Amino acid sequence: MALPGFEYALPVLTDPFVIGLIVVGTIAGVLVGALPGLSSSMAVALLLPFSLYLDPIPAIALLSALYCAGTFGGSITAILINAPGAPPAAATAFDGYPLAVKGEAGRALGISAVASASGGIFSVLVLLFAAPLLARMAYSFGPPEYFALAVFGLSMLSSISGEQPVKNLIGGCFGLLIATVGVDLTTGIERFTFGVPELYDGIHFIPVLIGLFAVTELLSQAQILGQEKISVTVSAVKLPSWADFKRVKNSILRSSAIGTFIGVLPAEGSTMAAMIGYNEAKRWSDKPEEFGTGSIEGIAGPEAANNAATGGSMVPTLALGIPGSATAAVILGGLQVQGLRPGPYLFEEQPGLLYGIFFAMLLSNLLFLGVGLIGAKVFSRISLVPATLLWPTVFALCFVGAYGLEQSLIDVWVMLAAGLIGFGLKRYGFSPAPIIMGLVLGGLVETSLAQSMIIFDQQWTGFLERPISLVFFALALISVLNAPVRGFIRRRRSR
Amino acid sequence: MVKFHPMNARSSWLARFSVLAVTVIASPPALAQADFPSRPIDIVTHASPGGGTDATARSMVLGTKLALDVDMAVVPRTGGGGVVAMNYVHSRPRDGHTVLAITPTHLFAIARGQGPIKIDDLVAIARSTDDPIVVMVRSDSPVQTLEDLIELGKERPIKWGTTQIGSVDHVAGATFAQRAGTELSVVPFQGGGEVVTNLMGGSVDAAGLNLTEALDQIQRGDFRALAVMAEERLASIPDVPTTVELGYDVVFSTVRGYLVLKGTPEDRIDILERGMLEGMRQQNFVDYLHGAGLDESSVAGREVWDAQVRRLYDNARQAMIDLGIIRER
Amino acid sequence: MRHQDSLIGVCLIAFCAFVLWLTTGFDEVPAMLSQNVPPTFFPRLVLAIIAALSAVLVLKGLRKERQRHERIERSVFVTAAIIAVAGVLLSFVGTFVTLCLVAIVLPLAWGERRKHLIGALALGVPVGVYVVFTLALGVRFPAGRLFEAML
Repeated sequence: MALPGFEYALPVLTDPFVIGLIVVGTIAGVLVGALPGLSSSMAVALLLPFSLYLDPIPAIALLSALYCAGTFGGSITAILINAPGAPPAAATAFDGYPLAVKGEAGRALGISAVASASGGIFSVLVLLFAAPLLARMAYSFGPPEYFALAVFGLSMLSSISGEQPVKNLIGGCFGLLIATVGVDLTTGIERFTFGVPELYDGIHFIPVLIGLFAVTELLSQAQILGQEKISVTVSAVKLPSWADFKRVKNSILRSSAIGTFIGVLPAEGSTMAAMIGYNEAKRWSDKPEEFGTGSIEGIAGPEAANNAATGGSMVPTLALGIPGSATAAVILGGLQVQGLRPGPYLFEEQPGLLYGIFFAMLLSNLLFLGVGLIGAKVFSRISLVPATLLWPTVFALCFVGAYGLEQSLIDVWVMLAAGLIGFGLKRYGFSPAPIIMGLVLGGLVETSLAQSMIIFDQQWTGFLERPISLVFFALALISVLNAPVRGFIRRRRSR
Repeated sequence: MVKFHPMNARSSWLARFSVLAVTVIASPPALAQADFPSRPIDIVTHASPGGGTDATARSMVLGTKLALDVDMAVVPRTGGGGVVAMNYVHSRPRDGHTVLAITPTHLFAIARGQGPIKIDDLVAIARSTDDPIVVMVRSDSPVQTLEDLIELGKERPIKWGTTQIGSVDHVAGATFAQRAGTELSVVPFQGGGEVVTNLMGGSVDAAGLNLTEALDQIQRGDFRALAVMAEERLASIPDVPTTVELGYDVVFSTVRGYLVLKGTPEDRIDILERGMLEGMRQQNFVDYLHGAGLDESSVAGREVWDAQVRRLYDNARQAMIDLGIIRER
Repeated sequence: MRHQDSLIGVCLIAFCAFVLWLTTGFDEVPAMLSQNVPPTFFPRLVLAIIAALSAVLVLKGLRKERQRHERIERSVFVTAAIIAVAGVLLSFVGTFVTLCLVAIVLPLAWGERRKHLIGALALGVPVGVYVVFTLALGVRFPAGRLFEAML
């Protein structure tokens, strides 16, 4: 390759010790990512002090490998036990778990591994060739642009799941409402905190996620305890076929681009990338009606997107010194601990470092593809464990997952309450997807609107002068009108 | 030419593989001593893993646990602007095994009367970072000096980027505006990184950021530093005047340091102070400071730190009374 | 009796009214920030939307036939009760004892009778959590008031 610096990086990267670190980082990342509540950012933060004993390139290689693999790991538990290991994997559970329930856990895991690796590799290539260029994009995204992006996200609410748009919208608004708990950013006023200091920063996302998915599923399992199970043993460990991969090819490509783009935006993370990836996969699919019941496109869409967002988020982190995600922020801290200052000059002063990170992420993506495909055969057997033993174990994991995040008992209670409420909601036709979506976007919608209004001196017309905002508002409008207009045309034609 | 890290010289194959081992399983606790510290010491932070406070604490712990020959853990108790962390520390025995990491956020919370701890309950141990607020604009801005900025604010409110309402940089900006007789329109963001992006992108006119958050942009010429909110100039940007020089007595800084509660035995505070100061003299901590754009003068012992905590508290309290955030009682 | 959606809609409207009342109790915004979007704006907007959508739900439900739901099994209530009790127990006897008890009680409640498996679970779950989370990842779990009092 013609880029300078490769020759400096090569000796470091062919060092068996560095390769060993990347392998360890990848395997640890998959496992930590898979544990509910333990996100890749926490794993990276916990390893940070130990990375101090390493040279910069091996240290950052280890942390980046952990980041890539951790994002993939979240999908394993999302598919097998409906407990997303990390927030970005929430959208993977929408279709991954139903597919596993059908007895095709291996197929779901295989699709997830391939989609994740493809998305990850796509974004790493973008990182290598276009980082400084893309990084400038971060500057053109101020609050008005984020508000428009969030509105576009919300426009997907009615279509994201189920057949009852009204209930989806109510669920989404409920998510938005939960997101208002805590101190209001622009006025500093406490809202719905009831004097509990743990709630000042809002209700944490992960406990709600674990509650709505896993604890709700625990109760649903209790409901069907007595019923005869369909025997699914044979196909559970089967991997996806070539036809499967062909079918998800387009979803993977589309989501890789979406994920990289959203990852580059500093304020947004892989969770939103996964949500949009899921919805776009559904929108463009030939069989949108399969979504929510175990569509492989519904697994590939979010998984390619959230892994692409990991590479994307490294773009502003390395090129501008502005973290592109929570985990990237920790890696940024890791660079600083090493005495390095990320920014446009970093690559000029330390050309080898870019290759170190690039190589580590690339290798990690390939490694977890292997771990994921081989592991799919092993992990998928979990779905064969009798429910009477599996679900108590899952419950224990939920417990420690909710607690481990911030070491707060309030989080455990939030998780338990979310589980009980989630069971009631599910029974009456409210699906968790829009609630999660509202919760993810709530803070962004509200604060970016309030910030925009200050910037525009409280004049709404200010949005009209922001071209990027107008584009996203237009996309939102198209997204909302898409389904009714299509239906209208279909009805006209059929006459 | 690739600059290799100074640590490179120290790493042998054996050492490197032992790192590989510790990265998988965290280091086992050191053997407990008979006297103090007799069990692991907890450093209680209010920040999520990965933030500046967390990273500072973890870097300090590395050297200090060797100096004290005891295991130390960073225990996050997030929420409530430090109130959750203070509640937790308040509930623990005052035997020196629980140490509170504080920032100005905690002092603001105490000044507002939140949480069980009063300012007189705090006993300082050591400071690890001192990171003053720097007033800055984008370099293509017509504003050249602090006076220009004040004039601008008399024509129309300055769009001023800050982190959360009631944070040290918000109070610093508001106090400055009040003393200078100028007007601000405060735009709060989630963190320093967002403020940098938005100052760069032109959504705000000016910002008061920590030096470490924007040193790169200043040195590169993207941002123009107008004044440092400190008594003395900074070594890394020696040409930038201080607010005190310019006639505004507005001194604000993000400090991070360690405290215990009153009632902890004196000799134990001494042991902790000596251990922490020795720990923070280690190469890894010095590298950490340099990486963040600070230097060794950030680290200070009990006497300096204790005086600073009390001065910051008085400043914070007065500022918040002036700004109408709290009422005088 | 009409479709349940009508009842759900009415409940949601009542919930919105209650939360709306909560928003009247927010602190006053300091004078220097009073020109900003007020903290009540967004929650009230969302509540208004939920209430409007709920009204649609009520009307739609009135036109639909009552939908038959399968009865909630007793095991669901038992499981929910175990979850709730575990949440309370946690602050008294701590994480590991709670996990151990859950690993015994939940399988029993779900009809598992193989003693050796339940025993393995009761031992394996807390030990596994301790090894992975506390030893390897340094997460400290609460010991519970009971044990803290004994210390």
